[in-house]
Amino acid sequence: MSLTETELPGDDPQLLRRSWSDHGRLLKFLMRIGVAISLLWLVLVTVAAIFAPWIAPYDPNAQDLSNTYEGFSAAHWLGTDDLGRDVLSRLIYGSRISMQITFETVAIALVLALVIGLVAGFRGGRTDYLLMRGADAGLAFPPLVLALAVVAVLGSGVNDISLAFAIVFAPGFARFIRGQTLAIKEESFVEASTSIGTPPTRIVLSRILPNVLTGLAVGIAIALGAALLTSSGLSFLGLGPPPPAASWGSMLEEAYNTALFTHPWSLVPSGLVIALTVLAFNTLGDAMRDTVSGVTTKGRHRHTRTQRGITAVSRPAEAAWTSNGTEHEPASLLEVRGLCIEFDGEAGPVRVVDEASFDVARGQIVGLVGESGCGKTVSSLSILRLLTSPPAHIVGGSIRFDGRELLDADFNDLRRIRGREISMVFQDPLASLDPSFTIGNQLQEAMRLHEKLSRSAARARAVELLESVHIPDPARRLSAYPHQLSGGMRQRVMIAMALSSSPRLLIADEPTTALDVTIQAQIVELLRELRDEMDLAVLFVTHDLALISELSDEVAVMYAGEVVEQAPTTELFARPRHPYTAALLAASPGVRSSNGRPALLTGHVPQAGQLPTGCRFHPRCDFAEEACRSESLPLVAVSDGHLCRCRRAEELALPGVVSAGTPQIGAHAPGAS
Amino acid sequence: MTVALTPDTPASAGADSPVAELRGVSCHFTVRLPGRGKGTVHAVDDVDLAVARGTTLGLVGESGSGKSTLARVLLRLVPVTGGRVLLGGEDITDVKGARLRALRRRMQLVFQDPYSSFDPLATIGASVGEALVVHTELGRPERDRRVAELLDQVRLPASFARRHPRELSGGQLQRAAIARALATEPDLLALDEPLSSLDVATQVQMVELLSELQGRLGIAYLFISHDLNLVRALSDQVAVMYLGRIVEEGPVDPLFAGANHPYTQALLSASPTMDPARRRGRIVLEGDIPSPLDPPSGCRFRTRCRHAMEICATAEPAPDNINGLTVRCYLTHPKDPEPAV
Repeated sequence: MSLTETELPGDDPQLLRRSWSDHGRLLKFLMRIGVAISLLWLVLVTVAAIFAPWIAPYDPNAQDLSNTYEGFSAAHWLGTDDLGRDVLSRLIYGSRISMQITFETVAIALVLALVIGLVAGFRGGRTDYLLMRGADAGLAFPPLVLALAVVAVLGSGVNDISLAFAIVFAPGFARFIRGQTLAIKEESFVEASTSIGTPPTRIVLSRILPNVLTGLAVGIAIALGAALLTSSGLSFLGLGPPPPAASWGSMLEEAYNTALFTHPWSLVPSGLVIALTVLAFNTLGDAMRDTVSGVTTKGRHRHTRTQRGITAVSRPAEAAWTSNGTEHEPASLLEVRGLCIEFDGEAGPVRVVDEASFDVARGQIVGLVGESGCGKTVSSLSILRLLTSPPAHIVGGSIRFDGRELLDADFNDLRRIRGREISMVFQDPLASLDPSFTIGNQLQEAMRLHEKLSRSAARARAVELLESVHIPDPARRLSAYPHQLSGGMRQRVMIAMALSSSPRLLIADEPTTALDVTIQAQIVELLRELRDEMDLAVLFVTHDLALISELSDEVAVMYAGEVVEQAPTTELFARPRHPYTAALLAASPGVRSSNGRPALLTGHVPQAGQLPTGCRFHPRCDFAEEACRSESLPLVAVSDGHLCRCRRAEELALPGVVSAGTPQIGAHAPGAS
Repeated sequence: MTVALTPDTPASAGADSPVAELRGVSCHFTVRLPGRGKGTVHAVDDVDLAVARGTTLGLVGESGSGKSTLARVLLRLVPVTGGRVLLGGEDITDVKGARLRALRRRMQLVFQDPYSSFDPLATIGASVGEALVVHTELGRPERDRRVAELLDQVRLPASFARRHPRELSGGQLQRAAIARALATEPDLLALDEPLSSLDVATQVQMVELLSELQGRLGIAYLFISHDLNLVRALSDQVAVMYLGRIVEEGPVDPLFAGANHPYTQALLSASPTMDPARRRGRIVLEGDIPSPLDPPSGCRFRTRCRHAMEICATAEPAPDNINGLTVRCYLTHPKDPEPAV
């Protein structure tokens, strides 16, 4: 629960599902070299601009008419131009004007835009309306024409040109800043500042402005490139600083006018310098965007061949099917055995799921429970191989669905299984639905993807599906967009979508966590009904023990990447055998210990990669002995169908949930069995 | 009996008046509806509520019932469109500008999402110390010392002051959020679903922390949650809100033991429990909470109520006092069909 936690794979499916390919990785690698080269180039240009008089070998305006259009030579590295002036010296001096205009333009534009954008965004209402219509008017002119007009009015001194360009650039910036301001204003940290009593100006300057600027960094880099390009273009049209002053654009113009056909080489130096500098700015902008959006990958990757769209499997050849000793469910629909998953970390692979085994039988609801960071979500995503590689790799075990080994399947096999035989429902239905299509559209598309149905048949089936998840007035709901539905309705639509291909297994990852208890009760009822009527098997991932005690037939408890206990639900809640399960039960808010409050489960789940030796739970365990600190244990059967990973499971008498009005947790008493 | 935390009320002036009070408060706002002109959202409607000094008032209800808006009305963060808001007996309904900002130090807010409630660019120390910059003349070293004290109060190491929000877990951030709220030594802390994004084990630790702080500092809490188990663990009084109105209110134990309003009963029975004995006779409410743009006439719960009668559509039922609970329902008030005032 510290620094590295956010960088390590937690239970955030959004993060885990972010996709990138081999190709993208290579690109990113080049990108990093690109960043270094770009920075080097820009530093070089800036140094040249600042120290031009000391660096330049010649006076940029010194003519030598006997020596025009000279090629490379020891005296003139880049040759001379039509008047015999040294091209290198002119480029070096030219960088002064070109870079000054570029940076001045962006700086002035930024100041103008910040004032307009922040005021418009923060004040809103009429102020916003007036300022933005003004900005729109500015944006409506073609930029080059607007720049020409302003230069014509102001004159063509360096500062005039900068101001002209700034006026051209400002409206676009202002729009962006206003948009950012509006978004940041809605964040609760701004409301927090308001509720503290911080004055509005202070909120804008100390809270909103820094956040706007961070988002603006990319835009600034790109704008620098654009400003250079525009100013060069304008110089090329003859509206640059008056001759003989050198700027890159004017050099290009002179070369173009005098030597396009006779000495085409003379266009290259200035043209190349402009192109390289613009490229450098854009490369930096792109790299910043990647960094801001968090796409950059840290850490070392292993070099296994990965296939797009499925989690890579690199397990030892012999580690195929092994029974876990208790053949109580020989014909389960889903059999997970010894599943091991690793993620690439900064210091090499980190194992986040270790030897996890569980079964889901036909028509059975199985709960996978534990605190966040225990590996429940990672395990559930790995079944359909939905974890992206890198960073995820399945390094051991077996996942069998209806007898087929999913870890040996290729992308095409999995595509036939995904959504057709096994469906998934996630916590946030809004993130899983496309906001720009109607519910009906998305439902029918899901169906037509898997089976050939006529339009009208698909529609009829969609209505039927919405009915089956108890959505009132289903025919009308088909034309609704996701945002028009409540959270509970959306989750029903997700379930309907998941059911559209009559799957045999539904994997539900915290599907009710974001919902009200009343709606949760409805969804729970629905899942039970689907199990009973359609013989649907459900793997239900949650941290809510009370919920799982009502819903599931079987429960697997995970801790720090391992399954620590597994039993039929009534058995597990009545007679927990692992101290972690007992502690979770006692900590549930619905249960009261003798002091009237839920018992405390102190400490945190250890991070993957920093696991304690021995039993992973021992640092938080009330019953830990010396042996628990050194030796780890396998999951063993403690009674029929009840598996537990604790050396003291036999001797501890852990309190379960006592049924009678209010649940009571008795005193912890390690008694002899 | 569960929460025996009511400390001695401070012997200052107004000690017997509630720390904060709403009298017939409404909060309506106008929204533009695409293609349908304008509509009025009845977020909070004619609510009377009081939070006693050093106690916890739990506010429960489904999402969309107006709980968060009610807290923001009480804290004067959204405009009040009717009724009076009182802070320590003083009417603050019309206070504005600098005077309102000065009042804010007496009432603070903790948000649901710990991550978005901290400026990602500011250190935890800067966020926790913001109120000290705004409200006090303390210099940098004194401020740092006070921030360390505040972090210590919520059981965070002082070194966290130098960290950024992304370096903390959700539970740690929520502790920091409480530290930030405590910086101004408020009389009232509104906690808007502060635990719903946290793990079970972390929730329990937070409940413990909140009770301890209340016992030590004598702060009053307005604790908003849709998790009835948590409300029960923390509250002295509970108010049940539905579609902008309080439908039932009273001390925590009678309310959990014998709720009168069908909505309270449904909420209580929907809450998942590990005890199979308590699951019998579950009431599963049909459908969703209606839109606050167009609330049902009369009793607003009637469209989902299994006991709904003709009279329920006529007018809002008047409050009744039954077994120490204030209830607004015709079931318990059949003899008075007259519209309530």
